[in-house]
Parts: sequence; C-alpha cells; structure tokens
Amino acid sequence: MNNIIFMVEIILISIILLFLFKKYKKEGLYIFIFIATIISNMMLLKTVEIFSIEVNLGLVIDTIIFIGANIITQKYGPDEVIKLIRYLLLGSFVSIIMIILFSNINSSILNQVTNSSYDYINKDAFRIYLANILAMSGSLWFNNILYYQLRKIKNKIYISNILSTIIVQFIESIIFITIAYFIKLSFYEILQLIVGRYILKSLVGIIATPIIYIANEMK
Amino acid sequence: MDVLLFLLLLIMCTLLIYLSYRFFDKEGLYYLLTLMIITSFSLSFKIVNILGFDFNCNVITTVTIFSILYILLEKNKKKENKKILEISIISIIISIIMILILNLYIPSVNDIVSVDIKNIFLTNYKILIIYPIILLGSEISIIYIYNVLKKEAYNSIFVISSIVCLSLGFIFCILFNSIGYLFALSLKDIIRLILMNYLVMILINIIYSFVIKRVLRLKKVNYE
Repeated sequence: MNNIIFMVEIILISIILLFLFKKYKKEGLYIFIFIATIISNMMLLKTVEIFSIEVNLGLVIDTIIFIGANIITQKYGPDEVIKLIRYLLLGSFVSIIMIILFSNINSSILNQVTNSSYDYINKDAFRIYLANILAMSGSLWFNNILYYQLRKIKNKIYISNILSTIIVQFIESIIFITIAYFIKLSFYEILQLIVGRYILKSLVGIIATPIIYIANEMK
Repeated sequence: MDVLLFLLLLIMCTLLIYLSYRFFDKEGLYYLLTLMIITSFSLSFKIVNILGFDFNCNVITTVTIFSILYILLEKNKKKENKKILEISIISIIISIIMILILNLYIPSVNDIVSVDIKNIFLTNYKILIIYPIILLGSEISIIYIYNVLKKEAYNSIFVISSIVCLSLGFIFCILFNSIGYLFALSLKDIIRLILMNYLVMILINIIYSFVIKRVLRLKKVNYE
C-alpha cells in the first residue's frame, strides 16, 4: 500500500510543481519550494516503511524541492537559488518557531485530546525540524554549485541532475539523520537510516529527471 | 509565562509584516501570505488558555493574513487582486493534499506519532474542511468590502480594517467555531469560544492597524 502511495505522491507533487511553474514561472517555483519546505517539516515526524525501508515521511516532497531548485539553476542561474535559500531559511524558521511556541502555551480543557496530541507532537520536535531545515538549506546550496558546474562542463540535463542527486542526497541524508538522531539512536541504527533515506531520495531524484526537461521546454 | 509567549508571537508576526515589506517588497508579502496560510491552517486545531480565556491558536495568524491583504490591496493594481486569491487557494489545496497523503501512509512499527496525527487531523475533519473555506471566503469578502469602501471615499486603512474586523471577524468566528466544533463541544463552550476569539481578534487588529499604517508609509528601498 505504502509503495503505491509513494509512487502516486511522486506523480502528484511533480504535477503541482509543473503547474505552478507553467502558471507563475520563477515565482511559481519559489512558492512551491516555500510551501513544500513548511509542509515537509510537518510530515517528517511520522515514520513509514517504503519498499521495506524505514524512513521519515516527507522525502518525496523534499527531493522534488531539489528538482525545483535545479529548474531555477537551469533557467535563471545559480544566484536565484541563493536568494531562494535565504527566503527558505527565514520562512521555515518562523513557521517552526510559531508552531513550537504555541505548543508550549497552556492548552485549554476544551477539545483536550487534540490539544494534547498537538503538544505531544510538536513540543520535542525542534531537533528534527532544525535537522530538516539545516540539511535542506545546506545541501540546496551545495546542489546549486554542483549542478551549475556540471552543466558548465557537460550541458546535459540528465547528467547534471543525476550526478548532483547522487552526491547531494548522500550529504543531505547524513546531515539530517545525524542532527535528528545522534545520541538518541545507536550508530548502527543511524547508519541504517542514512542508507535507507539515501536510496529512496536518490531514486525519487532520478525518476523526477524528466520534470526538468518538461520545464525546460515550457515557454 | 503564557502571556509572554503570546506577546512574543504577536511581536514576531508584527515584525514579519514590517520586515517582509521593507526588505523584499510586495514579493516578500506574497511569501509571507503563503507562510501564514499554511501555519495558520496547522495552528487552527489547537485551543489555548491564557489568563482564563480560551481561544484558537490561529487568531494571531488569521489577523496577520487579513493585514497582509490590506497592504497588498493598497499597493496592488485592481487586476492583481486575482493573484492573491490564486496563491491562497494553491497553498491551501497543496496543504490539504499533503495532509491527506500523510494520513494515508501506513505507519512503521516504530512510529509513535501517527495516533496523534490522526487525533489532530482526522478527528477534527470539520476544521480541516471548514477553515480553508472560511479563510478563502473571508479573503474574497475583504477584497470586495475594500473596493466598496474605497469607492465610497473611505481612504483610511484604519477605518477599513476596523469595519472588516468588526463585521467579517465576527462572522468568521461564528462560522469557524460553530461548524468546526459542532457536536465536539457544548453550545455554551462554543459561544464562549466565539466571543473570546472575537475579542482577541479585535485587540490584535487594533495593534496591527498601527503596523499597517507604518508599512504603507514605507518607501521601497533597494538593498541589492
């Protein structure tokens, strides 16, 4: 079941990305990446099994953000992505700080079950949220440089995207899992999570290569 | 402590409106609108209690969304207003799709939060459905009321925001709380929640009026 939802999610998110790009061009990609980052923060607290690999949810939307950033680099140059990372850092920090601060305010006795669940999820999630933001912005910055350099050396979209995905997703997985679970889990478990996340994210990144071609053809 | 946290959040939102426009111009306000819509949506499920008053967490963010709208309406040409609604609809639809996907996945054996996620989103499916609809309805109404009042030569944004808050704010609170908590809370609790939300909304709106006035006086500065 999860594998089917996983594939549907890839298709759905890709369609949303292309729709926003077609409608609003560069601004649409910015909006997509902005929305996706905030939502991926909410999703990654849940863990699921996809193709028998245990991972935090939100990795599809996370990886498609990189595809969106690659489209920006491809069409508008690397400086635009730096501007995007600035917006992204600011936006995600503000969003998680607001959610965590509200979770720390005394809950009402009205609708108590929901309030307790809300507090339980968000109160101690700062570390995971922070891990996601740092991993995302750091690796987006590196991805931007790498994609641009690969494009300069060999002007082939599939080479630039696949190579940058393989390298950058490895770095992203290490940063995210280490910050989120260091000390909390054993070294072996951390290693397992890194490998699992890396395999699935690379898979999504490679599968999503045609999106850059489609976006590149759009006028 | 709770009051301090609440004030901190209020100051944060106020500063965000000011800084977004000062440093990123209208573009910054559009991104802030997106950010506030998604955050507000996620906050709409919790009720807090501060100094004995119960109200929804999303009151601050909802008034922030309204304030961003006033500034955009003042700065935009009339034909650009469609973009505000489009961006809001897109943000909400993507959020709902993602929340549904989040709940469709079967959790792993080590997962400890899916029960709570279900408690938040699926148990409160009425809020999940009604909040986006009311928010969009409010945005459309604000644009309409703004245009009508401008035609009637009400040029003060303070007057416009006060009229909108007093009328639309009340309708917003009634609809959101009565539909969102229908059968979940007693009628007495729902009425109390409506009144408290409305009161907090008015208070925040008064504070924001000064911020909006200040932002509208800002001249565009190029920081590149």
